[in-house]
Amino acid sequence: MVRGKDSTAALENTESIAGAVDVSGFWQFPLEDELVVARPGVEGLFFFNSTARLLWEERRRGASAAEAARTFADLFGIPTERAQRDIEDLLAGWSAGILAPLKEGGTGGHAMPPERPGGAADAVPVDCVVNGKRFRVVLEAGDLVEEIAPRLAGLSLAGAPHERPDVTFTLANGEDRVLVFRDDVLIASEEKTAGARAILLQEMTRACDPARDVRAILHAGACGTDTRAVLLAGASQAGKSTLCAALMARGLRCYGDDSAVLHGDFQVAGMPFPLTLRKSSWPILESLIRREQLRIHTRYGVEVGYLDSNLPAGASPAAPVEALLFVEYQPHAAAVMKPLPVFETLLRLRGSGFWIEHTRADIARFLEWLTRLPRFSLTFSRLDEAADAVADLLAR
Amino acid sequence: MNNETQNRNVEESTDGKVTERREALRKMGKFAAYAAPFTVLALTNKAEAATGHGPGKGFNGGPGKH
Repeated sequence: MVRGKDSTAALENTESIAGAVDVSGFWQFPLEDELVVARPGVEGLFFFNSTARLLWEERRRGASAAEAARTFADLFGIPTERAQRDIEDLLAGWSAGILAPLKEGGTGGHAMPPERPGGAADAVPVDCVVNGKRFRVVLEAGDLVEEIAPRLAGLSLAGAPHERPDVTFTLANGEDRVLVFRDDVLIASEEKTAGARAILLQEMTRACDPARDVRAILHAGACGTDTRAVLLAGASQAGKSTLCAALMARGLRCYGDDSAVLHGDFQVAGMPFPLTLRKSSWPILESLIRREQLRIHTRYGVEVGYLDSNLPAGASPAAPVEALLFVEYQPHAAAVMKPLPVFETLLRLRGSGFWIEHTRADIARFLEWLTRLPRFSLTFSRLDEAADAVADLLAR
Repeated sequence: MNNETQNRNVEESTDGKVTERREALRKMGKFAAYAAPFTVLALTNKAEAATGHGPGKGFNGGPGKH
């Protein structure tokens, strides 16, 4: 980091850190005061707060770092030295991040796609029907069976296997990653078993309704009626699945408990797989869910309860999204729901996990949808209060 | 409005707002509220859109292959 007694000299030196910002290869999406920027070749979004956006714009119009620091001091009434320090830090961050040269060869992947494994003797085939579509899922024995078979149990065929499934997925352990094949094509290689499970369930959902393009996937549950749904987002262990189960007990549909697949005009696609409930949530749900409704399995040495979906079988259900809630269970907290600005929502999505098709048009569509959508945070300790809040949103 | 038109307008409005925003800040009165500038990268990933990547990843993520 360049720091000198003469602030102007120090700032002129930062010119060599970032240089004038050439944004010709970037996609830019202004929010209210903030900015979202994306780069082809980088699977992600850069979020700029309002002052970072101002600096970006100043640099775009050719302002030097020293001029930008003077502008900051002038507009915000802060000492030039502080503006200088903040600008230096940000320019250095840009230099190593958004403005860094892209690595050759893109963002990863296999140079030589591995071939789909043949019929290993210990592979476990699971035939199931999801939304009327016939699937065969072939799982390598071990972790993959432990992770995935209980998710398909409620949907699997009791009798004879499919003579000809519509789609076959094969999951197997590669050298250091879990490989997911659709028929003979490698569609994902994941670091973790649960990541491969997530891809499988998303792809099964996508295959049920191939006419609709998947726009985005959020780490969120989704509950509602037949015609509208609310997304329940949050980090792992925030209480999403527990709240989904409580809402199911009230007769609401659960469109999914950990992955909201948004397709078409951002309708949430129904994922008729069972909810996963940790043992710690069983007592909280005791008055709502009978213990015999849960299928108990041991996963990685820990007991987990699976609660079957209540989506109607056959069709591919989907519902328009009425609101996005970031839920957070906090012991002893009163239920409090607060509106979320769109930028804060994006920062929270960054924390919880999300995916968007990485094209300029898809990102623009996603941000436009998110800007229009009512957005809230909801902290709670009592499930009935949280469920009331969700029901109120659906009744609006 | 088609997508191309929509995107072009988004970019044009960015440019158009540069001066406006700086001037708007000036017109707010003495000084606008200051927050230190920051930029963060949000990586987008299908698997993490179901399993997350914060606390609890160990449980939700299950065993890794490394």
